[in-house]
Amino acid sequence: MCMSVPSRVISIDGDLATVEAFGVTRICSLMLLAEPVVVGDYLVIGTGGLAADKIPEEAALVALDFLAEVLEAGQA
Amino acid sequence: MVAEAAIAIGLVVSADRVADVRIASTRRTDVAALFVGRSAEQVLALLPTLFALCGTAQTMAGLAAIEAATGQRVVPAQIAARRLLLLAEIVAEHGTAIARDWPKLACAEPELGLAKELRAGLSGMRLGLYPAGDWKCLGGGALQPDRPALMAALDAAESVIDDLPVERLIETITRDCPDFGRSDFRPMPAGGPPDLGDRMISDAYLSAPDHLGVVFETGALARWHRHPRLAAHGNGLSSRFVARQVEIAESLAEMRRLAADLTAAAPTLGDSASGMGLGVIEATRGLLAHRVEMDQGRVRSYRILAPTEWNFHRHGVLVEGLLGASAERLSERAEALVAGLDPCVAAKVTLD
Repeated sequence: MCMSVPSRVISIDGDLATVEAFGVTRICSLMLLAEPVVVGDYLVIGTGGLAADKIPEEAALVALDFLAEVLEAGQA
Repeated sequence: MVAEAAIAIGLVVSADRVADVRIASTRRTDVAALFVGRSAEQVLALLPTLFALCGTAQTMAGLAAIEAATGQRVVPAQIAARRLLLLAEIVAEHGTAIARDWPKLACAEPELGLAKELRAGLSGMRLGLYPAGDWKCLGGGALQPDRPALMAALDAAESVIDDLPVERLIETITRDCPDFGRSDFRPMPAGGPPDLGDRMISDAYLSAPDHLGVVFETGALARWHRHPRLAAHGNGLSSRFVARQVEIAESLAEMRRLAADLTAAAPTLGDSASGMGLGVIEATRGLLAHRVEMDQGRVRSYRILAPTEWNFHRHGVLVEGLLGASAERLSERAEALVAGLDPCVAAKVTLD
């Protein structure tokens, strides 16, 4: 399934952001996003390491809780 | 760890031809099973975030399935508004792929600024239809179309589309390898195979679907193969890229018609909390199906079948199109074919 993992922005350097989810950090490009991004925002990462969308915190946390269940169930 | 899935496509070459195609995927087809026990509203809150790359289509399929299961009536204006949102996602996704991936296939630089502009403009259509942001409610939200804003968004989208770097790749492919990947063309029937709902209860079917042994191809070419620009050109590489160009133009035209006719509408209420429903949506990458069983307002069973399961099936259009292909410039041509089929996850081609 084409699941997205909402990832929290922990630092920004120009058009690149370092994001974290489930203890894993990655660098993604912000070049597809029209909205401003700040540390603490949640992003979903698409093809080519490009951030595809900014997700409201509440929705991101609900999805992360679900993904934690997926992880616990051994389904990821 | 939890991570986005990926597909690895290994090509085995013998005597200058592709002798075998090995597809390995980390995609999971059973995640929706964990929706069991949740309310419809909880599922609908998860869908657009969990499957954010086609979040509108996933939400529309979920809405259709749950509404069918619970006897929820949806008025035509709400259906038209949802169609408009789905088409906006299709245009945005195709346009993003064209700006991001197509230049690379033609040895040029990506045009991410165009993709950004297109996505930003089209994403505003949700609030242009549902100012309260309640577009993903069962029975529809408070639909109050802002026609001038919708038309302005369409004008802006058309302007960006005109600037997309389409012709260079299509010319390159038409000159070099228009028929690469051509195989027996088996387009997905409209609405999906007749046994779709019954067979989606099987885990094996969700990861390797078929209909009476036939593995259909799904996506823009399957939807538009009768279009004058595509009829009689088969399912080779150039047809795949032209089909997406056609779909963008046809989608924008349909969006304009829908936006012109839309009227305000209030949500409707459901009449049952139990039952089974199937929601089938033609998403950007092809047929997307959700099958749900509801019991007293809670999910008893939830299954999702994504288009990539058809197109990247071990007997599907990608494999059949690659088997026997010439080894000449194989890696780049196979990558173009994968891009033409547009999997919903990252895909990498290797020569084994």
